[in-house]
This record gives sequence, structure tokens and C-alpha cells, in this order.
Amino acid sequence: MIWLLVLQLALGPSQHYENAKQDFAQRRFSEADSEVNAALHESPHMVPALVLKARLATLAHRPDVAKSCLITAITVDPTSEEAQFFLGLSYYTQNDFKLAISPLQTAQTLSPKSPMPVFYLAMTQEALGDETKALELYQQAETLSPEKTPQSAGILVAYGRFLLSLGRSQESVEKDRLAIEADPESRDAHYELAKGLDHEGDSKNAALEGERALTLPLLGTSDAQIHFLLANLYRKLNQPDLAKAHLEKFQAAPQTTQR
Amino acid sequence: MVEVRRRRFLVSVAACLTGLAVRRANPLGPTAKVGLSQATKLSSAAPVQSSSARTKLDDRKLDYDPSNAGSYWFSDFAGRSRFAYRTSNDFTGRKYFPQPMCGGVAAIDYNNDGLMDLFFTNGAKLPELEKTSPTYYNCLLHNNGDGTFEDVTAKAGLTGADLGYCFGVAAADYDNDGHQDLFICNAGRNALYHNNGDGTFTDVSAGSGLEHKPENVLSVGAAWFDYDNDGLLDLIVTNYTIWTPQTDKQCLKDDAREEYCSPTVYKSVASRLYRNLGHGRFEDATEASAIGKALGKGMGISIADFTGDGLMDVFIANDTEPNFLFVNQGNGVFRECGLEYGVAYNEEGNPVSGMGSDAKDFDNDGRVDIIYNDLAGQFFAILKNEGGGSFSDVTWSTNLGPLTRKFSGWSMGFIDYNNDGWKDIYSANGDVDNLTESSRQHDTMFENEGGKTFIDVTEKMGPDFAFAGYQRGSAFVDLNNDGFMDLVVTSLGQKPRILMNHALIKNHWMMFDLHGHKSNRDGIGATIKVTTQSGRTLYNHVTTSVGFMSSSDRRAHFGLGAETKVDHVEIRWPSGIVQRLEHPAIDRILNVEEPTHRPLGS
Repeated sequence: MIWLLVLQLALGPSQHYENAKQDFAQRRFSEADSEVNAALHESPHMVPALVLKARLATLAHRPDVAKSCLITAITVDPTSEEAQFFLGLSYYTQNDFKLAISPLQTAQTLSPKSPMPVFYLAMTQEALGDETKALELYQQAETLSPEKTPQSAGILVAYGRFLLSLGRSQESVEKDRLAIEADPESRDAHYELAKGLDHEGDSKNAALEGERALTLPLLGTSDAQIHFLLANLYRKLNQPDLAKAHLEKFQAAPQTTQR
Repeated sequence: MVEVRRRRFLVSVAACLTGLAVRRANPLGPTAKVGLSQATKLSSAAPVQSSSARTKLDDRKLDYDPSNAGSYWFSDFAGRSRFAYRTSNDFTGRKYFPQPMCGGVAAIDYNNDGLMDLFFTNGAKLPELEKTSPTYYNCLLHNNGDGTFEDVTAKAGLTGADLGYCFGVAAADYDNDGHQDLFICNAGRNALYHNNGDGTFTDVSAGSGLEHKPENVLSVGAAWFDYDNDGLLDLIVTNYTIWTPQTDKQCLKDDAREEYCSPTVYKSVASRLYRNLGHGRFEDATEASAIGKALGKGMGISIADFTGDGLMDVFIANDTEPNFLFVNQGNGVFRECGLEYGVAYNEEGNPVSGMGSDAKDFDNDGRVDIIYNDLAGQFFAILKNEGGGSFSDVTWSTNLGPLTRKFSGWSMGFIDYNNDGWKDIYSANGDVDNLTESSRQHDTMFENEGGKTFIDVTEKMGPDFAFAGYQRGSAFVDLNNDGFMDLVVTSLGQKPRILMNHALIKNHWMMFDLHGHKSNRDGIGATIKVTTQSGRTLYNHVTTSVGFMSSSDRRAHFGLGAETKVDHVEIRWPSGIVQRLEHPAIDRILNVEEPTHRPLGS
């Protein structure tokens, strides 16, 4: 065991952090945690390590630890865009929307070309009920994310969902279509498009999109949600057998509860 | 002040004496309304009495001049009266699970003087669950008929000092003696108060059968209805969960700030159905009716005949559980059809935090629709009855979704506030918790545009209406018998608001005060179809169960818009008797007696 300790000391905090980063990327969270702890043991104010530790704590459902790490990181280096962003994100996920704004805005200032701080600011303003600001920010996030990637698809899906909640279903459908262009395999995008088309009264194409969503990898939108939507769509399309079949699958699928 | 009142009284008397002449001079002015608010007794044998048929309402004049209202629809009249009631949930920092629910309201004419009075339930000291001081007493306010109310709680025997923490209230004449009684839902035992007819009530719970419920169950709402159409009102009670101060869970946000726990951390329970056996006795029909098979966290109850078979069905909004639609099979059994009929979940197939609910026909197509509210971000829902056992979620096509995304609603209901013949939507709002800047919320009024879409008209309702707080219970009631529905709303920690409707648009109206004979005396469950001279058809039914924890005016209200004549009215009583009234007078309250026989051709 002594040799291990010697080896760890020999590695130095930077190497531990690099190891932790690799473990994190490969979803070896336990190993990543050990490595990042080793890095912080030797260098308690190492900002990238503090941020990584916060991300690991978030995954472990320890928002208190995450926030503590991020606040330390920001105290050491207020110009760390990463620390500011993840602190804002941490507040956002804890529904502390007011508190989320300041670090997200700082992150945005520090990294004006990054779409993610703007995107989370948009969702924060949406949660706070400021529709005008949210719309403006969603648009900015979309503009900052022109590439066709799953990340930009995610931004477009959220933007489209927000537009749908405002009753602007046509614009919502447009965003969902762009999201599908960016990531044709996005289940969320196909599901949201199905909802938007349903709001537009196009049950037939909505059902097609819903069926397509069911075939895609399960990430955000659940099978239960899609089956429920399809049951309603087939009811509208006067196809009671299909409606019944999806309703039965909806009942059989695991469901979520909102509050 | 006395002199001012006296002057107004004299003006009102003059208006009353001149009767129809005043009406001609000022067709629908406020003075004419006072003089013309007489009830007219109707039956199928004696269709419509002349407008000169005076009743005790004629000499009731309100010290209330709508012309002073300015441009707002509602003003709070509560400040004109001295009463101590505040909605008291003992909010002292420690957050006990039931605290967000407090302040049920009932509209009840307890002394049969033709003016609706008000009853409020109240909380208790926690964790003791006792009304340790008058702060927590329930409250009965007598309507003086002049815009003021007198606290008659103690005299009436309704303090509820022995009841602990009270939630909902349901008013109805359960024993058909002509006096409306009260049922109160509690954390402890539930209570049935019999109206003695002399201004007092007696707690007759013991031995009634209603005192029994599973141990430690929180009963939050109740509705009177006659599910077997035997002429005796039965009772359904929504239960929320099993809870005691000892089993109360403490939930922390970020391991620091205390917040109200989500209901998901508590068990689901069944609602309870009690069948009225007569003579003040009830039997628990929960299991026999199959109501007991459905476990949820019951909140608002709406009673209506959703299937058009003449039997009363039950919709229950559940908090974090699928909503229930209990369809009456006619043999004492109910079938839970929420999922099948499309009312159980939101658009995404998720259960939401269902709170208050109402069931009325919002698009005047002859079928009873459903609305319910929930928490911010979940969107209030409107479900259109398509017939044939199917409802469509029209939350988005009616624009209700976008209008409600910011609000956490509690009590709610359909109210045709401007008498245009289209039922609008009112919601009493306020967050569950007090942790954010948007926790205090104002109420909302969404105007029904031709049965197709809704628009937000809250701003027009006035500053008293738009008070930001933690609103909970609400009742719709015509307190001054002017044909325009008023609103009574409770808010946590506050004096209730008594929002008088200023009737800014002089639309016409009718109100039906039904008296059953073969059917239950309150006529609960009777459906009314009004056909105007132009052929417009309007629908309503008699129920007191509207919103959450509350009980509204049992008289069925119709706005008629600019229509000046009604061709006929068809009333379907729960007994099956169909009554037709030809060319009834409008702009008045019509007292209608159920015929003792089934008219020919019905």
C-alpha cells in the first residue's frame, strides 16, 4: 500500500485531475471521484478539479457539495466560465431560479460565444415567468448554436416547447423540424413535433412523428408519454383499435409524476 | 353614515314601489334591478306568475350603488363588516403537511330570508390540531342585505371549537326539511351540522354514520348528490392521505430551508361514499359502490351527469395522481373511467397536481365539460365532453394553456360573470409554499369567447380582485340577488374577500331556485335547458360542489346576454320528471317547485 501512496504523491495534482477527467468521460464515476479527491487533497484550490468534483457531486445527488465546490472555485478564480456556468446550472436544477441568473450571466459575459449559458438563462427566465426575456434568450442560444449537433437540437427542442406553451404552435413546429435536421435521432424532437402538429390539428402527421419517436433511443421522453399521445391521436383519427392498444401500452409502461 | 344609508334606503323603496315604471325609465339600471329582484313561483301547473307577485325579497335593499363602481367589475365589501375571521393555518415557520390547505367557503341561506349567507372553515393550532383559541374558529356571516355581514357563529353554534383543523365544507338540505345543513371535512372526525331552522345548528355527527372514516385520514372536500335518485342527498368525501403531526415528514430544500413536502411522500387513499338512509342516518357505501377501489389524493369534486343517462357521476381532481371519473352504473356501483374517458392525465400522460375542479357546459352544446387547475408550469386543463364516453383535451385549442402557465390554482370554477351566456373561468391562485417571489399570486378571470377560446380579463376585474396572496377556497354566489354572480375568496392569513360584482354590462339573466318534492329538496342534479326567443340554447345544472373545499350558491344561474325573452325552459329533475316552463320572465330569480306528477308527453 505504501507504494501506492508514493505513486499517488509522485503523480501530482495535475495528473490526478487528468486521470479524473478521463474517468469521468468514460463514466467511471467512482474512479473519477477518487482521482479528483486526490488532486484536491494536494491542491485544494485547483479550480478545474473543484468544478469536476461539483459535477460528480451533482450526479451523486449532493447539490450542497456541488455548490460548495463551485463557490470555492469562483472565490479562487471569478473568471472561471466553467465554475460560473455550473453554479448557475446547479441553482437552476434546484429551482433556485433567481440565484441562477447571476452566475449564468457572468458565464455568458466570460464566454460570449458559448450557447449553453444563454440557453440556461432562457430556461431560467421561462421558469421565472418572464416570457419576453426568455424568448430573446432562446433566440440568442439558437443563433449561437448553428451547427447540426445533438446539443443544438436540444436547444431547439426546448425553444419549440416554450413556444408551444405560449400557444405559438406553428413556430414551435418550425423549431422542432430544425431540431430533427440537427439530430434526426432525437426522440424528444420527434415527440415535440408530434405534439405541435397535434396542436395544429394535423393528427395524421402527428401520429407518424409519434410512431417514429417510439423507435428512437430512450433518453428524455418516455415510452409512456409517447403511447399516451398516440392513443389520443388515434382516437381523433377514429382508429379505436390503435388508440386502445397504445392506451394499454401506456398503462403498462412506467410513469412519472409531476410536481 | 346612518343618514346616507337612510337616504339610499328611501330611494330604493321608491324604486320598488314604482316597479315596472322604474324599469321602463331605466331598463336595466341598478335601481330597477333592486326593484325587480322578486322571486316568481313557478310550477308546471301554474306557469309564470306576473311580475307583480311580490315576495319577501322585495323589501330587501342593499346599501350598494353599482354606479359608483368605476370601471372595475369587482369590489371587496368585506371591510364594511366587523368580523374576526382570518384564514388561520398556524403558519409559524415549521411547515406541517396540511397547512397549505385552509379556508373552505360555503354559500348558504341558513335562515331562509332569500339572501345567501357565508360560512368559512378554519385551521387549528399545530401540532396539537386543536382550535385552541377563537383565532381558529369557523365562521358564519349573516347577510344583512345592505352590503354588510354580521358574525353569528357563536349564536348559530358553528364555532367548531371541538373539530380541530377543518378543510372543506358542503352545504345542502340533506333531510329535506327546507333548511340547508352543513358538512365539514376535517383532519380529525368529520362533522354534520343540522340546521334547526331557528338560526342555530346542532352537531348531529354522532350516530349519523358520517363520523366514521379510516383513522388519521385527512378529509378535504365533500359534495352532496343523489346517486341513486331516491330523493335523499348522499355524500362523497375526498380524502387526501393518512397523516398525523407525529408522522409528519420534514422536507428540506438544499438541506437548509424547510419546504412543504410533496404529497408523493404520503400514501394515497380512497374517497368515501355515504348513502343517505333518511332520518339522519347514512351508511358507508364506499366498498359496495366500488369507489373504494380507486386510491388517490382527492381534492376538488365535481358532480354532473356526464353521460346523459339521468344519473349523477363524479369527477375528482387528484394531487399528483391520475384524476378519477366515477361513472354511475345505476345499480349502486360506480366505474372509474378516468383514463378511458380521457380525463385522468395531462396532455403528456402525466398526472399533475390537480386541485379545484368544476363541471359545466362551457360551449353550450348540451354536454357537461370539465375544468381543473394545478400548479404553475402544469397548465390548467379544460376537457370537452364529446359524448359517447370521450373527452378531448382542449387546453391548447381554447388558449387556456398559455394563460395559466404561471399560476398555481386552488379553488376554481365556471362563472358567467358578465351574463353574456358564456361561462367564464375563475381561479383562486397562490403557490403552495412561500419560497419564491412569485409565491403570492393574484386570482384570474378568463373570459369565454363564444365557447371556443378564452382570454385573460383579470385586469378588468379590478385591484380588489387582483389581490396577490395565497388564495385557497372560493364560492360563487349572488349575494345581492341582482343576477350577477359575486365571489367570495379566502387567502391564507387574511380576511376573506367578498367581491361584489358591479354588473358593468347590463346583460339579462335568470336564476332558478329549485325545490324538489319527489327529488331532493335542493334539486341537486336537476338539469336546466333555457331556449331563448332567438333560439339560443343554454345549459346548467344544480350543484353546490364547485372548486376546492367550497360550496357555491345552489341556485342555477344563466346569463342571457342581450336576449330579452326566453321561449321556454326545460327542467329535468333527478326524479325523472321533466318540467317545461313557457315564456318565463327574465331578470329575476324564479322559484320553481317540482311537479308532483310526470306531465303528459314528458
